[in-house]
Amino acid sequence: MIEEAGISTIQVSLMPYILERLLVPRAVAVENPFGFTLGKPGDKEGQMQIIRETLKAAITIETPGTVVELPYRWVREKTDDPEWYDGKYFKPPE
Amino acid sequence: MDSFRFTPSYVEIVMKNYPYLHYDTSPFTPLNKELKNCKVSLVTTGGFYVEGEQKPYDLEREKIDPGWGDPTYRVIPRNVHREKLKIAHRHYNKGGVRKDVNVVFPLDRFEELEKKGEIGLLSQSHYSFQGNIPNVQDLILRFGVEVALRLKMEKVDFVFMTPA
Repeated sequence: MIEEAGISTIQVSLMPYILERLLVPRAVAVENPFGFTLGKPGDKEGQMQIIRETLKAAITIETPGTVVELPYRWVREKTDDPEWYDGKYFKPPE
Repeated sequence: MDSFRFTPSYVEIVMKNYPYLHYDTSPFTPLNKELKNCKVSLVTTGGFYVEGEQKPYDLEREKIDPGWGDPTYRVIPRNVHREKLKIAHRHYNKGGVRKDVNVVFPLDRFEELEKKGEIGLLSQSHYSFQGNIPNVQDLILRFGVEVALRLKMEKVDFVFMTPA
């Protein structure tokens, strides 16, 4: 809809599975958990890196439906808050 | 890339059984301006709203009607007090965003890009949805169109979209 209004878009996706089923104009994919789209809280440089590469993809993608897989894979570190992983927010809603 | 590396099994089941709309073509507006000359706006599905000024998304109805999700949006001003930016969304771990909103809604990062001249202008208005919308009718026919028109009226050139 936004593209139809004459505005370019790009989306960061956590789930390329869906992009294979829908056709979106431009996308990049990163392998981060839901809620951690651009990486870890407080990691300004890491967030900026994903943003800049996404902007680069926005300029280079010429074919609608292109998904650029960025090389980021979430790495669990000792300093991470255990709450991020404990799954309590992820229980099937009652 | 594994789409389901972090998701609990119920999410995988829902995603794999969802009746996706099929499209043969995609609308596509070439970006024919340099980003340093573009007005940029953010759109997120992180479920953000401004505490004390906006209503949270309706999470009560989806509890009794799981085929429904609140399709409305909130206009988030760029200068919003970050601590007033709250989340109403039942389907992701909010631990990271509560610590640092930029993980999903990178307002501060884009202000930095504007300052450095890497983008032209960061728009005054940004848009949040709450991403659990199984029935997309109202999103497609009404709320998505409204946001597109608002962005158009604001003369935005480029939209950066982030899910949660």
